[in-house]
Order: sequence, then C-alpha cells, then structure tokens
Amino acid sequence: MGHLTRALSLARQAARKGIRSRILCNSPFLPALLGGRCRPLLLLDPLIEFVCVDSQLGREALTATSLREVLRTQAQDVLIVDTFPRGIGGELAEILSSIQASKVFVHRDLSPEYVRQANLQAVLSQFDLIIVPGEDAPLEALAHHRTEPWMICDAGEVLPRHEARCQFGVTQEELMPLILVSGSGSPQEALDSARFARRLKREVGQLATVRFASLDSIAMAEAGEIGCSLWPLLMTLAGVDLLIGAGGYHTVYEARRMQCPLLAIPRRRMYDRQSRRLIPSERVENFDQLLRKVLSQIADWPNLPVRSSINYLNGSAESVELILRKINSQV
Amino acid sequence: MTQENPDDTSPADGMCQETSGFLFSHKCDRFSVSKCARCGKPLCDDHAHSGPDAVIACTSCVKQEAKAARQANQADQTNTQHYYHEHYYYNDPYFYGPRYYPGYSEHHRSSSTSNTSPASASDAIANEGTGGGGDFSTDAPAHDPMDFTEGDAESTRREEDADFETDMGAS
Repeated sequence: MGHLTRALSLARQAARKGIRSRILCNSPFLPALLGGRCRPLLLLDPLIEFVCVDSQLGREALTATSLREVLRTQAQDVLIVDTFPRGIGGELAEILSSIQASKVFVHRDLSPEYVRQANLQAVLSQFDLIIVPGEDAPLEALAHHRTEPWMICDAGEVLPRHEARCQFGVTQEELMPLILVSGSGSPQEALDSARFARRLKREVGQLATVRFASLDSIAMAEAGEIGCSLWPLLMTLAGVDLLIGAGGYHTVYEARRMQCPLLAIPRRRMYDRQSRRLIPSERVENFDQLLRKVLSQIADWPNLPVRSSINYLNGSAESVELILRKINSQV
Repeated sequence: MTQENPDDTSPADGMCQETSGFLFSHKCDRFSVSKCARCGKPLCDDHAHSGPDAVIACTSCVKQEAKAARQANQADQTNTQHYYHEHYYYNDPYFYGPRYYPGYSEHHRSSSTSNTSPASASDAIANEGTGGGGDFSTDAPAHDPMDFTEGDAESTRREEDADFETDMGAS
C-alpha cells in the first residue's frame, strides 16, 4: 500500500497542474479503493488512471505486464519508479538505458543487502532524477534531492478534529480518548490487528473509544462493530488520540506530521526496515507490551499537550516541481 | 553414488554445509576447505574446529559432543569431560552454550534440524520469513533481557537468504 500511496500522492499533485498520470500497481488494496469497498474521504482526480495488475500474478506475468506498460511511455513522458529501480522483478534493468522518457527514481529506505546484491548503485546512474522522500536511504548520497515525506493530502485538506471523530461515529463531547488500530500489511497481519483491536476494546472499552480501520475485508469482518472502512486515514488523524499500527512509511510519517501519538509493532519486510524507521517511544515488541503501553497512554491522555495547528509541507508537491524543472531543463 | 568416508578429512569441493550461526541458523556462503571427521560435512574455516585430539569437527558435532558429555556428567559426578569441551571451545564465537545464553535449554531447539542456534530472541524474531510477521494472536514468551530485539538490529534476518526480485508481494 505504501508504494501506491506515494504514487497517488504524486499523481494528485500533478493533476492539480493538469498533468495526467498512469499508475501501474499490483497492490491487493487497489480494487478496494476503486471498487467502492471503502468510504473514500478523498476523491481521485480523473486525470489519474490506473493499470491494475492482479496481486496474485507470479513474477513472469507481472514483469511482462510491467515491461509492456513501461515501453508504452513516450519520449515526452516521465517514468517514475518507486523503491525498486530495477523493477520489482528486475525487469527494468536491461531496458532503462533505452527508455527515452525522463526517468525518476523515488528512493525510500531499502535493505542494504538488496542494494548490494542487486548492485543498485550502478542502476541508479540510469535515472535522470533521484528523490529521497523524507527519510534516510542507503544510496542517498547519489540522490539529487531530499524532500519532506510524501503525504496523500495536504495539511489544508485534513478534517478538523470534531469532523474527523465523526467519521468514527464519535459525535458526543470528548469524554474519552479515541484509539485507532490500523490494519495494514499482509492479510494475516491485518487479521491479527483486528483481533488485537477487539481485545483492546474488551480491556479498555470503559476508558477509551476503540476503532479499527483496514482495507482488508476479512480483517474488517473480524473487527465487527468497531471496524471503519475509510481511506485515507491521514484525513482523520486530527481526531485520533492514539494510533496503533506497524512501522510502514505512511503510518509513521502521517502520525508524526499530524502530531498523533503512535505505537507500532515493526513488521518484517524483505526490502523495508520498519524497526529502523520507528523511534524508541513508538516501537513495541508484541501485543502484550502494546496493551500495557496503551493503558499508560490512556492514563496520560488528560495531561497531553494540545496539538499545534497542522501545517506540514508535503514532499509530493515539492517533488512535482522538481520533476517539472528537470524535464524543462532537458528540453 | 559413493558414500563419503567420514575419516577422509581432505578438503571437499563446493560450499560449507554447516548452518550454525552466532544468532540464528542460516546457510553458510563460504567455500568448504575441510570435512567434519564425525559426520563428513564439508566445512569452511570458520565452521571447522580442531579439538584437543586435533581432529576436525563441525560446530554441530562439537555441540552434540558437549551436550552428551554434560548429560553424562549429570549421571556421573566424577565425569569432567563436558567441562573439558566447554573450556576448550570457550573463546570460539561459533560455539556457545549455557555460558553465553543462561536461559538456553535443549527444548528451544527447532525440531527440523540438529544444527540450530539457541533461541536468542523472542518468538517474534525467531519466526523468520520473507514477508510476514509472527502470529500475534498468541502471547509471546517472556522476553529475556539478554535477547536482541527488533529495536537493536537493523535486521536480524540473514538477507542473503531473501528471495529478492522473486516475491512479487514483498515491499
């Protein structure tokens, strides 16, 4: 979901300038977003089109589709590759030099072992522009620019606190903190999060309002009456007093930009280093420890400082400017 | 097809077959230069141990012998052989036992192989894979303060074993 969200962040900013985007994506959550199986709090501009690739496709079929789409790019287009400069299956490595379009690489944090094994340093020289979206990355020294983290919406678009809480069915005056458990990741991880949310409701339901949000339908079914299928969560974080999730890019940076306390269990990922992204106060080892920390946060809730007004810089807006500047310099 | 002679300690072609690691079991990516005199396993320099009898043995066989010696000592208080094993290999970083991991006991070993490392991390860490976390719906065992955790290391997996560019669902 992180790759898709970054792509959408950029595409939304580009659409504001009348620029059309085509997003090639194999995220299993894209059908839920496009198919109305969640309540969207953002409308997607018609200038954004999607090439939805079945998330169950194997390497051969997926890389063939990727190649076909990449080769459709015209000389006046811009090819933007997120996280995997060789393509997710290595399919871009041989053709990058032959692509006439401007090539941009979005360099999120990556496993150093992957960087080494795939010799990514050599591949990066094929890109015209390398942007680091707001976090340290192994090959950052080769990047042209480092921006703020990329947000799916600007600070001016997020819902104010009361309206955000209404999205979770919390309309009464604030008597209790609102705890939101985010069910991201693999289906099993999402299901585990849903089960934890229900456990949390049993344990602290008298002290806090607990909600669960996910794009995974099975996890949502498990969550039952505390489930809220809406997207993107960033729009609602002004109303959330504690966010519980994993250590993915958007969970972490959205919580921080919205000054929303975060407790996260870092997930194991092949390419991403979630544990490294989290700071000690955010990082939790397991659900038992998480429960203890939640209780501690609830106790502190009345004494928490009031959040200052939300006014973050959106790295995706800055990135569109950088890309346009690069294209114009190459004309 | 010929059976390997465990008495033949001449260097073998190919890769080291020992999987004992400092923290976790994992494949060894070094070439073999000798063989274990006990089990015939091809070994690299790091996994080959020359014991007090000058016979080369792999990390796994050495540990098994030490375990057997300890068990024998439990039955016979006059038997000091296990102390001999432990003291001899004490400074070898690939040999470890209760001295390094006070909480380690035999039942932590995986049933899949005899070459396992002690469970030096919590179950959430020990549950290695290329994409998923552990089953968080079950309570993890009590955390040993000596254990490494996710927060202490960038990655406690051995990424060399990862299926880079083959798992299309990875992120």
